[in-house]
Amino acid sequence: MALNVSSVIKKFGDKIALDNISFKIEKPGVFGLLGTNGAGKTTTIRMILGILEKDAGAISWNGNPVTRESVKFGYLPEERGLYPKAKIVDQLSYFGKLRGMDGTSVKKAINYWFDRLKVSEYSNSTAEQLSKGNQQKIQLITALLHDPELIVLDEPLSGLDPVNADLFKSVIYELVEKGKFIIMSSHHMESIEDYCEDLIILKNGKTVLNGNLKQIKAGYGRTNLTLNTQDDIDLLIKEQAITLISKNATGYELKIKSDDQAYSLLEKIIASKIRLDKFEIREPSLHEIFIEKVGE
Amino acid sequence: MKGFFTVLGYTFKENSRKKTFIISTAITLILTILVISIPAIIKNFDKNDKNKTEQGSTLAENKGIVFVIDSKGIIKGNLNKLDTVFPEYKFKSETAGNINSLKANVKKEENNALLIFDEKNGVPTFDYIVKQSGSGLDPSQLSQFIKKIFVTDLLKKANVSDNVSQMLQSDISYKVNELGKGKASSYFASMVISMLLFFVIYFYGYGVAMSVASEKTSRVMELLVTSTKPSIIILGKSAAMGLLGLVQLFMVVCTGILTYKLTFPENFKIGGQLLDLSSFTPFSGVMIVFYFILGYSLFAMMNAVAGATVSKAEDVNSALTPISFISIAGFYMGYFSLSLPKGTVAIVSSIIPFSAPFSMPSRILATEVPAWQITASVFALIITIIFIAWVSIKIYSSAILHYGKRLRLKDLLRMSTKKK
Repeated sequence: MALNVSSVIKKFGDKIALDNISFKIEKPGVFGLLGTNGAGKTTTIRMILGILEKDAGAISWNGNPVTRESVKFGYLPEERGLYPKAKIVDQLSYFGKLRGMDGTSVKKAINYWFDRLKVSEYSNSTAEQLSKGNQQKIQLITALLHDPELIVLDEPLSGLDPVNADLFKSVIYELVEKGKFIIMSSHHMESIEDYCEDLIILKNGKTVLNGNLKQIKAGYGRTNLTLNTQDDIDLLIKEQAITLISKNATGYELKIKSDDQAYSLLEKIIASKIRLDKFEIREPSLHEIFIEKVGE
Repeated sequence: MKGFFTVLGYTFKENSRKKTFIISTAITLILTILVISIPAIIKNFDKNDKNKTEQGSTLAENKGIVFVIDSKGIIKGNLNKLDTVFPEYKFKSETAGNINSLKANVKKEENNALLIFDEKNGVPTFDYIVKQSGSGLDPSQLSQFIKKIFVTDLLKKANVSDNVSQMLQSDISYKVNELGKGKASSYFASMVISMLLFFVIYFYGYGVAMSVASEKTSRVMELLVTSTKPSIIILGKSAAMGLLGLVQLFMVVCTGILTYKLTFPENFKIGGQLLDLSSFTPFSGVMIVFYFILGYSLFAMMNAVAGATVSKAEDVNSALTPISFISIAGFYMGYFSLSLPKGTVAIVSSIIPFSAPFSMPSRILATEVPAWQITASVFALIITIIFIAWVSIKIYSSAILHYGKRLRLKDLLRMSTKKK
């Protein structure tokens, strides 16, 4: 199974929303769809799901065009939508049935997900009576109820408290283990880094980065140095001609050209009898790569 | 097809549970009962009034006195006959000398009256003096009675036999038989049906627009269109609201018929015309429902698009303005043609698809509509519905994911020409 997006172009009037976007998702797991606000993420998702027409290019699932009939997909839209005045259980069974489930299987699935996400008690409440976090859980159920093969999650963790964020993460891991194809769009770089093997970063409708996250990071090399200390070492850094990225309450983020540069700084620090809490040479984080690629 | 029924079932269930539906149904039913029982209530009040006056006069034995001054001897020995013709009065012979004191009496006593007989060119005349005209005995009835005495007397003098004399005096009886549909009664029924259809079509069409707009506002739309085809949503939703309207219409009509059977007085008249609902035949009943379905479908399709063009439910009314204008114009065309159900305006308005649903059913109630006109009207409606549904589904698919500024007509036209 594979999702193939090739050379997709979308224009809104004179504005080019997506300019020749291509990527492939060839194995199950989480694929990261990243970009700033207005980069074209939602447009890409809508075209994959077939609710928005593309001006050029092709999107296929196992070689066939993606339609509601050919692929079972689940969708958690960024703009959450539930019927405010309808009972939770009623609207869930409505969405399940719209996707072709029968009465018994929809009931079974609803009960499973009610237990899994700990929302059974809200079965007969209306959506407007629920907290934002609980509404989000219900919304996730609508996306997963019919056991879809391709799942699109647009900002799944936004607005969740840490406990519920962990609950969502555990559900996403479970889906990956079940062999689901998941496209996840998020501004939450740490969570993308936790799951994603492959990703694409969009900026103003253009691809700025596409590929395997580990390879991308390896390509950058171990160019980041984290130093945690309570003391001021600004002078030492300057002496070693190391670039300062940021300085905060716990210490320094530095850009180095080689490991040697870092170790010679370490020697100076020890010689100066400065106490050090942490010394780490590492690859740049996704957050840093993202800022570098789309920040300017 | 399964999706269609799922949308239909869910929309129907959710909307029938809404407070607005339950309250509006209750109010409509109560109004129906009230309006239809008005004739019974009026009649009841009349009866009570009469009872009161009758009771009053008998209980107090307060018979009015009619003073009769007959100096020319016109009614001679027939004074006691007056007592039998007007039993609620006591007739008392008086002389012309008392005229002023009698007048004073009449002015004081409401129930009393003064009758002065005279003669002009050999024919009897009388002055009837009461405190207020309209109260007391009916002078025209009295005049008839006097005439009868006078004529009988004349005939007797001319030696005409009693037999012939009696025949001459008898009234010619007559009966009016209406073969066509009664004008006033069918006018009333047509008006009610025309208004009822307009109300239900407009109200439930509005419901479709609101329902679509609220799905956009609550952002459920994005989930919906990824779950099923837009055409299924628009058709299922419209069908559900139509069914709801039909259920309400059915309830109103049933309550109406029941109230009519239970309370409607026999031979109730408005402006001297018998009012009955005999123009409701099974055929007209079927046609009313049929035209409701057609008219509703037409306006629901247009309203769904109007609902899809807005981002906020508050904007629905302004988006509906052009459609409201069309439906109100259609309704008035139908309504005005009621007075001349066979006129050109009526024929044209019952064939134009936008006014036909308000015009044709009322025409069918009011007059015999030729079959070709019904066929043409139904045909025109169905073609228009199919065309509008086709365009609507196209525009709807593009419009529902549009958020922000309300879509204008030119945006819609652009959307409808795009392939999807």
